[in-house]
Amino acid sequence: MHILVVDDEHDVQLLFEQRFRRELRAAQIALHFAFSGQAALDALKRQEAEEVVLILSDINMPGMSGLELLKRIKACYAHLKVFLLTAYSDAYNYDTAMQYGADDYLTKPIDFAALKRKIQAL
Amino acid sequence: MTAQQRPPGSEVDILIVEDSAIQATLLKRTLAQHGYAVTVAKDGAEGLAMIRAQKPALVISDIEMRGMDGYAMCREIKRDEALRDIPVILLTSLSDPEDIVRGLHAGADNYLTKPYDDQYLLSRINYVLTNRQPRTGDGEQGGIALHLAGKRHRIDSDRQQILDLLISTFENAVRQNRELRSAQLELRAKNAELEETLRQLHTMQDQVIAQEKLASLGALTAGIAHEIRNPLNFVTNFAELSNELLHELHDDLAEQQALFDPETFEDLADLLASLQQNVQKITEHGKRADRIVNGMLQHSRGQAGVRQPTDINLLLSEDIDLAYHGMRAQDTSFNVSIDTLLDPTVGSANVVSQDISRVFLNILNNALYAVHVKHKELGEGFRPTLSVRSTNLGDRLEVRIRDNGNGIPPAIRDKLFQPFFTTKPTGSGTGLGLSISRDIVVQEHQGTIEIDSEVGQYTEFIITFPRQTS
Repeated sequence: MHILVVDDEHDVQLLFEQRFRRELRAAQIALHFAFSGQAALDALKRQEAEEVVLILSDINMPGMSGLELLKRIKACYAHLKVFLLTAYSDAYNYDTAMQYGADDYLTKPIDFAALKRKIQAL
Repeated sequence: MTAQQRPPGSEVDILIVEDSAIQATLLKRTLAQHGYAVTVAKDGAEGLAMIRAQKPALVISDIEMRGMDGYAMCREIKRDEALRDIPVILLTSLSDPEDIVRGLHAGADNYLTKPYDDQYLLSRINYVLTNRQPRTGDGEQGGIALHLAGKRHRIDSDRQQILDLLISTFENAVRQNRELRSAQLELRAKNAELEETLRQLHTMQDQVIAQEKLASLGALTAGIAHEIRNPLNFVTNFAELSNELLHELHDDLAEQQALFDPETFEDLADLLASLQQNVQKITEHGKRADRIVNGMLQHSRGQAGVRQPTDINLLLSEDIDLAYHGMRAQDTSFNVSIDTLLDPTVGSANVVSQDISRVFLNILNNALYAVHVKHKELGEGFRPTLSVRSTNLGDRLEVRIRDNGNGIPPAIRDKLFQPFFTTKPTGSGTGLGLSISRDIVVQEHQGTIEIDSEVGQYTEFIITFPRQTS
């Protein structure tokens, strides 16, 4: 399963690669990274990550926010699943995410065990 | 107007000479109400003609008029044998002492300064009418010479006229003086009132500024808390990962034990154990910092909170820690013993935890402040003590926070919950803590908040609220 992780923090790559190292080693999943909303859209457009089925995106990013990215992905690639990850657990972000069709909404710090279960359930 | 107020000899003819129609009408109405028969002329020439025609008992004339002014008309009256006995009252502002001389020269009988009240006007008319004496026409022998404002004047008026005019001038002066004095007293009172209002405004302004600062500090805190949260997440996450990796390393090492000589293996195992321990500490403290950041976020949040089952004893313990460390951070030389007796059966209540926590913190901070103040007064002989009790009352629970500070005088006990009331020096308190606390406990949670205090001995806040609130 190919997963695209979108976050403006570069260390997220290191973190996810270590958190999912067993799954990566066993080739159960493949991780792709984009460090902005625009970079994520570009990657999807270039079909670099054509096998991507799930996008894990931060909400609070400079430039295009995770909410905007979610809206665009759902408009162009309706089959893709999108989980939003955020440190801001306020009602506005949650309601907007649900309205734009987010498939899940997780608050940071991320509970990786729960995330893995959700990914397996897809 | 009642009949008694009518002057003797009513139906007295009075001629008003006044070029302002409004002034004339007002004066006419006043005089008519008191039984005088009033006619009005609109300038000096018309006035003179009417005087000649109807010989009124009294003339009241304005001074400044177009054409023939009041002085000129008066002179004409007094020059005329047939008219000179008709008394003339001139309306003036008496802004210049020379007005008196001009009036004397013109032969006026009396002055009336504007503005005048009805009572004064009537008494003056009465005076003029009752003291009316025929003019002799012959002035003082040789007249009187006087210097006024650098000018030489010669007064040829008769004694009666001079006396009348001077008395009316003096009366005016006395009256004006009296009015000025009462105006001055009024001004002084108003001034004191204004100063008090200004003082209150300054106090309010200080409070508003303090609130603004507090609000911006709250926003800043929320911002900082969010910013700290992200790196903190990385710290805990990587620490947890390192812990897992160290476990794997430990397992791998155990499998490969045969490759090492025993001493080296033991060294490696020791190092690994220490690393594991350190990483665990990093995780632990990272999580602790995260809890603090969470607390900061909850405190700075303005919106209405959500009710959730909350362990009240745990909340109290956290707030006691927070208040204690907050105080120690401000003054490390000061210490206090905190005697905590939490009833383990208190359990949880359905409350907005950050709001209830705010109440606890407020009261704890006040208690610490009180013992701190007393400690500064009494020195080392005083043992600052705080006691915190929680009690299970069935479907309600009670929290008592008591300090052995200076107590609260009965006179101000009622004011404690008023917004902006504070006993702390300016800048130290907003005066909002207890008013917000009462709103939270009473309005939001249908609870009660009471004070028990003895001056010089103690203050105790007793808070109760139901476990379930609507």
